Amino acid sequence: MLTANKLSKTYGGVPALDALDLEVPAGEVFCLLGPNGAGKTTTLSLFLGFTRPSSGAAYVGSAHVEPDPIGARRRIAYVPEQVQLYPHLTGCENLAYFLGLSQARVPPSAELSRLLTAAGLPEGAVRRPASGYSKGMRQKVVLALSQAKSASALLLDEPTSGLDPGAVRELCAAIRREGDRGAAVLMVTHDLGAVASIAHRIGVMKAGRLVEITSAAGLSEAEVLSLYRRHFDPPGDAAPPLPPRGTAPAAPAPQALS
Amino acid sequence: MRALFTAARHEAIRAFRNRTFRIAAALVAALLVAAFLLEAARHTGEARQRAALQELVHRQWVDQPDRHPHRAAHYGSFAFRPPSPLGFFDPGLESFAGTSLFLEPHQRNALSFSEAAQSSELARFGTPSAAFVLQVLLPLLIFCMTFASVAGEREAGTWALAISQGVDARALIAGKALGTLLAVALWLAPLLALALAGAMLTGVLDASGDTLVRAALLGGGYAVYLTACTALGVLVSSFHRRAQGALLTLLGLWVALWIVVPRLATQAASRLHPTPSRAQVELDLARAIRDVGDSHDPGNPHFQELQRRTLAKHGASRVEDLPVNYGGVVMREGEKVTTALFNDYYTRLFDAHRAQDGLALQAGLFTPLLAIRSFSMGLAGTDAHHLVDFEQQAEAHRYAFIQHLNQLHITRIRWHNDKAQRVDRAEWSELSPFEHRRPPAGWALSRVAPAGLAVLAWAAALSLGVALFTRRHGEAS
Repeated sequence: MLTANKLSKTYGGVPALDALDLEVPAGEVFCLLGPNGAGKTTTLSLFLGFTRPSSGAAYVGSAHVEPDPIGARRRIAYVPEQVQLYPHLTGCENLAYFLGLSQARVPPSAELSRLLTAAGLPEGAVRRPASGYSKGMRQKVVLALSQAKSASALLLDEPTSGLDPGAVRELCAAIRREGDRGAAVLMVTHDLGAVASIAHRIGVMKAGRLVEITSAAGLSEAEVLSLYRRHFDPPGDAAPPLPPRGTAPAAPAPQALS
Repeated sequence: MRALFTAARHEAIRAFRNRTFRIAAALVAALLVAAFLLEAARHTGEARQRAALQELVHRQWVDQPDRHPHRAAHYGSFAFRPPSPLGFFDPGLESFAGTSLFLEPHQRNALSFSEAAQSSELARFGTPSAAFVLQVLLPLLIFCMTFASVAGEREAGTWALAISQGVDARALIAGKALGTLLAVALWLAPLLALALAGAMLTGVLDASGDTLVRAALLGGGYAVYLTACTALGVLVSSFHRRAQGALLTLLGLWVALWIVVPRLATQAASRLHPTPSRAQVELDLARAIRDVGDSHDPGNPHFQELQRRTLAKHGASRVEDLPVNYGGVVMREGEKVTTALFNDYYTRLFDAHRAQDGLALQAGLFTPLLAIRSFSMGLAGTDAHHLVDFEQQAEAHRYAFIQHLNQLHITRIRWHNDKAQRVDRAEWSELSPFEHRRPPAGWALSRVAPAGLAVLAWAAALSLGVALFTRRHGEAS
């Protein structure tokens, strides 16, 4: 569903993304890891057509993003890191507005409410102005939007940053539901716990290059951390070998403060 | 199209849910209502007073005793300028132009007794008018509504989310402009419709087809003008990444284009095409009359030739033997000569005024305010064209009136003992009072068409600017 063919982007001669080849099929949750500046957000921007590639091509389904960014975006639901809604509109109205812009059918108000509550928004909040929404609630509106417009692809940029553990859990469940619905999910994150809980595959990016793609099936958070450290810890400070599956590492004993 | 209307509807909702907009719109509406009521009261009072005065001077004219026609001519009459029906909306030059003309022989007088000269309140405070509110204050309100329309969304982060829905940025921005216009129209249109209906019901405005055509054209002109203002607001907002920057730019543009440039343009127009002062006009005319010849001077070549022709026509050798009163013939000829002189002089004066107006109109290419001001005054019937038309009608009436009396002098008064004779007072009622025929809407439109086109050009250029700029830069970044 999401395809990148030798996708590259340079800013002032400096490569931000270097010949990315990637395929995220429908129903898969693909998490991109990497430090800041690795090219993760650039990848999302290229799929959204917010920026033009220096070379290569990005596709959303059959839509080639560069010549047809509008067609590509209509198949996408996008959750930016700082997701913002219109504060003067209620959750329902925000959802109806974005659906109207996407040319999708705008269902009746009751159906919109149902979509929002199904995405995890408390019932009492559905008809309240979004000015009082938390980040998690705002994200749920966009996830409801993804479902309402039957988005083929869901792009998320650092969705868990600033969320409390409960909200992260709810968000992960909602993302998983989107994958189960058949959406191709591409999530950029630093949250290794979230990656471990929802990813089907993990990609590691370093200096604009996708240096590793691995299956996330059965990986624990510690194993994801180990994978990450293998690429980014300084030489000589490499991560310890992964413990055998099913044995959690013992927590270090608390040290007394002197 | 659906995205356009979705964006427009959202923008209108955003405006109405914004407390600042509601307060500002209420203030502007209150100003409009106050302007309508004050101007309607002033307009009605003036219209009644001038009609009453026109009737009074005619009654006084008719009530004259038996008199020598030339003495009656010097008794004179007045032509009162009736206020234009739509003057209550846009008074234009109404308050500053004279209200009446004294009609007398040998002299073409200028309009006198302006309201501003007679009213200390008017001179000190001016008058608020609905046109002023729409021309100057409403654009400011529109700028306050539009400055954050794109820049504010970019700053807040909603722009990226909106664009990511697969909407053409041009449709989104056009929808924002349309929504702003819709929000303005939703409170302004009922107010204007009420004002129009109220003015018709109370008799401030006559319900003639001509007035309605003028009102409809004014409505169209202001709609285009407000479209231009909205497009400017949205365009500036789309240039900026921060709402504050957009607001500062728009406020700067408002001060420059709505306050400074119009002042500079009128100053430049009067410097480049100067018109003489009233004292200078009178001095110049007195000199010109002296040069062309004085009908009272027996040695004047022009009048010597007139005498020769008149005697030859009637086969007489002396003026005393003529079957007509030669004194009246001289008066008739003198009036003809001085009128031609006055007409020539006033034509040049009005040409200078037109040159000033033309220059101001050219400046209208730099600010939409000058263009809409000319268009609005022209269709409201309160611009210089309508004043000149009144003066020309009054002058035509004066000339016919004086020449009628000269004809009485020629035919009813004998040469011998001329000044001691009288004509019957019944003659006075033969002369009808001055009645101003208001030029039709088509006439007014033909004179303000360049200004209307300038307003249209502003709206088209800014809308095109929005489309072109958005195509290149309307994406999320």
